[in-house]
Parts: sequence; structure tokens; C-alpha cells
Amino acid sequence: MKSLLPFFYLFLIFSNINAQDKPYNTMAVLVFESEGLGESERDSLTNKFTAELKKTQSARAIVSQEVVKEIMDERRLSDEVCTNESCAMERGKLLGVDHVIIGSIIKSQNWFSIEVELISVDTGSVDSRKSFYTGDPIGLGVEVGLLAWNLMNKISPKHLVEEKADKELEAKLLAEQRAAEAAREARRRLRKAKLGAMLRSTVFPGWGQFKSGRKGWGWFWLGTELAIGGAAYMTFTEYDKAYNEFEEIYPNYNASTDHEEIAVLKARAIKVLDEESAANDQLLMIAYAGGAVWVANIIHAYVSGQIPEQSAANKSGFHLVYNPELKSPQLRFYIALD
Amino acid sequence: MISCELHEGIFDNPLDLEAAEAKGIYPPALVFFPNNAEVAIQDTVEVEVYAMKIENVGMAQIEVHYEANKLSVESVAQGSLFQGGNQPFFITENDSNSGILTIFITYLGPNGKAIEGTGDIALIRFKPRSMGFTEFRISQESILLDPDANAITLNGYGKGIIDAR
Repeated sequence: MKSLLPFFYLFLIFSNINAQDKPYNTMAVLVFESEGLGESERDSLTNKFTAELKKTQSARAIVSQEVVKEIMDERRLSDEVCTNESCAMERGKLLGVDHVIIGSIIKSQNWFSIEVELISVDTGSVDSRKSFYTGDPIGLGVEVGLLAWNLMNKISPKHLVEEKADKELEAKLLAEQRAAEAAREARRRLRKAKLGAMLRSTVFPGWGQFKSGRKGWGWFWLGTELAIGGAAYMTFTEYDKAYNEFEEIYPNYNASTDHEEIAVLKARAIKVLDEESAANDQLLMIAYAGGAVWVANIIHAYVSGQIPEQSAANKSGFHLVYNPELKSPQLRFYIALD
Repeated sequence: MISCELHEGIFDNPLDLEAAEAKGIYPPALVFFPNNAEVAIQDTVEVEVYAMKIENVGMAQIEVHYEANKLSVESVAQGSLFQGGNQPFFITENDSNSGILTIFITYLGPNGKAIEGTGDIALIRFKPRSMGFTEFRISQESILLDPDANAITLNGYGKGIIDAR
């Protein structure tokens, strides 16, 4: 502090000579509170704001960020971000300025918000407050710069306004690109989920449907296959019984030398043979039915695919959205009508 | 094609009247029982000569023809059909060169009786001489006579097959 403060005060004396028309005397920007930003990004945005603030020529002197940081470091206050008026007053007195600017930046994936306050160190009152919310953080740097001009109630420079328009266009293109990528990803995931469901149902009927969240269908296919399996087992039991009975009768028929016994054994053998054949035909039919149901289950697993994960979430909920007409954030409540 | 094993259901017991009828053999007839066998070359095959549904028979002369180069007759024993009354007279004559086995059976004396029904007249033991199929049959020269020596018409003469391996 000792090394930089004399220069700062010397600067104040010189700037006082030709800056009588400036609305504010001395001013400092404290490091903004941030959410969703890295420390370096936050500092960079604070610096950007300070730089633009200087360009507005609204104050006779603005303490540079290096000085602010050095003083805060000396007081071991650099880790504490100022978020209220009393803190701002305290820091302003430490820095020896009339006004202090505190602010917050919240950055999310698809939106951001910035809010800045100009606080009088003497009274602790908020002289000016500006906030901004937009849909895409791609123009965050530009908006920080514009906010400096807005806070000082000055007309924004043309290059910043143009830059903002460029950023908006860039954001729009990026949003379209992201939407296309998201659609591609959704298609890929859907295809993968369908193939997964198909493979599972190939291994075990209904498994793919269970995994896809279609439990009703899962039970249906599993139940159908189990019923067919049960019928197949019962028919096989009949076949097996007839087979074994024939194995018992036929040698007796061949060994018999009594005409009557031969006739009786032959009649029984033919009856059993018919039963064996009928059971075999039925078994064959059941096997085909089982196979057809299995194939249908596989096809169904692929065609129906997975129940979209977001469906449940889409039933109802709240969203924070940006309304471009009102130029303000809105809380949106929605319910599914399907 | 998916299918379980199924029996073929070949009903060819030589004493099955329906099966015999399908082969053109009607009672009274002379047949072999069994009429087919699979054996190893060194084994013997026992085949019985059966009279099928005969009536009032007092004597029989049965001629069995076989392939002499493929089969040999090891022995011939009397069957159980001719029983009771006087001891039946049973002799055989085997011409192993021409492959003809002749079986004679009859009741001797005044107490001879007539037999009827179905039963075995003789038991022949064949031995294969070479591998492969060989056929033997009852010749149409075979004769059945009633106790008064009247000929009885036979409606069928059986055949047999041995598969030597």
C-alpha cells in the first residue's frame, strides 16, 4: 500500500484540476461476488468493468484493481467478497474513496445475471443500481462493459453496442449448433437405448422392456413366454409318457406269439403312437408360438425403445427464463398435458 | 426343423394276423418267428417254425430253403405244438449243399391225435457263414395232413431274413 498510495493521491491532485464537471470524485470497484465462475474469470470481469468505468469519465479518479487488491491483501481481506452496504462503506474508507461499487455475477450454462451497486461511502446509501440478465453467457464480457456505462447513466459507446449485437448473433448460432448437437446426441442415445433393449429382450423376454421403463410390457412378454413355457412343459410330459409307454409295449408286441395279445398290444401301441405324434405336433406348434412371441418381444423392445428420462420431470415444474420482450427474467411454471 | 424323436411304429410280428394279411399270408399258414434278426457273424440265430391257425392236423412235412453259401443249420429241435397222445415222431433232413432242410413230424399208431391253433413246430438254429443279408423261406412243397392223411391247403408260407455283421 505504501508503494502505490502516494501515486494515487498525486493522481487525484492532478485530475482535480481538469475534472470539475465529473459527477463523482473518487471511486473504487471491489471484486465482484460470483457464482459459476473461476477466480481468474471473476477478476478479469471485474477488471473489464473497472476499465470501462474509467472510460465513462464519471469520476475524477478510480482506484485501479491492482491497488485495491494490494490493500485488501495487506488487510487480509482479499478472500472476503463484499456483498452489502456496510461492508462497502468499511472497504471504501480503507481505500479512501467517496464511492464504492460492489456487484455480483451469476453464470449458468444457458444464462447469466449481473448486478452492480454504486454505494456512497459516507452515507452507505445506494446511489445507483443496475442489473442485467440475458440468455447466453457468451456476451458476458460485453455486458459487464455496458453495465459500467449504464451505472453511470451514460450512453453506451457504439463499438460496445455493436459488439453486443455480434455476441447475440454468435450466441444464437451457438444455441442453434448446440440444439443440433443435442438432437444428434438424443438420436444416438435413443438408437443405443433401442439396441440395448433389443439385446436384453433377445437374452430374456421382457428384460429390455423392464430396463426401458415399460414394466407393463415387460411383464406381458415375460408372462406370455412363461405361459408358453408351461404349456410346452405339460405337452412334453404327455409326449414323454407316450414315448415311454410305447417303449414298454412294442417289445411285448414283438415277442408275443398269441394272436389276441398281439392284437391288443398293437391297438395300444398305435394309440400311444398317435398320442406321441399329437404331443409332438403340439410341442412343435408351441415352440413356434414361443419363438414368434420371443421375436415379437425383441421387435417391440427395439421399436418402443426407452421411455424418455425427462418425461417424469416434464410433468410439471418451474424454470427461470429470460423474456426478451420485457428484458427481464421470469419464473415459468409448466405442466404436461399428455 | 425342431422335433422330438418319434417311433416309427413298424408292426411286423409274423404272428400278427393283420400284418401277415398285408403280406398275403392267411391262415392256415406256416411262418417263421421271429422272421428277421441281426447277428454277429459268429453267433447263432434261433428261429421257430410256426403253424398259424391250423385245424385238424396230424402230420407235417415242412421244407425250409436257405442260402447254403451264407447259412448253415446248426441244429433242429422239436417245438411244442405236437404234444399229447403218442410221442410224436420227429425227424429232420438237411441238405447243406442245396440248402434244403426238411422237417417231418407226425403221430404214430392208432392213438394219434389232431392238433389245432397256433404254435411252434420246430426250432432251427442257423449260423451265418458270411456277412450280409440272407433269406430263408418255407417252401410251397411243405405239406400238412389231417389224421386221415388228407392234405390241408396252406394259405401262406413265411419268409425270414438274417443280417449277419
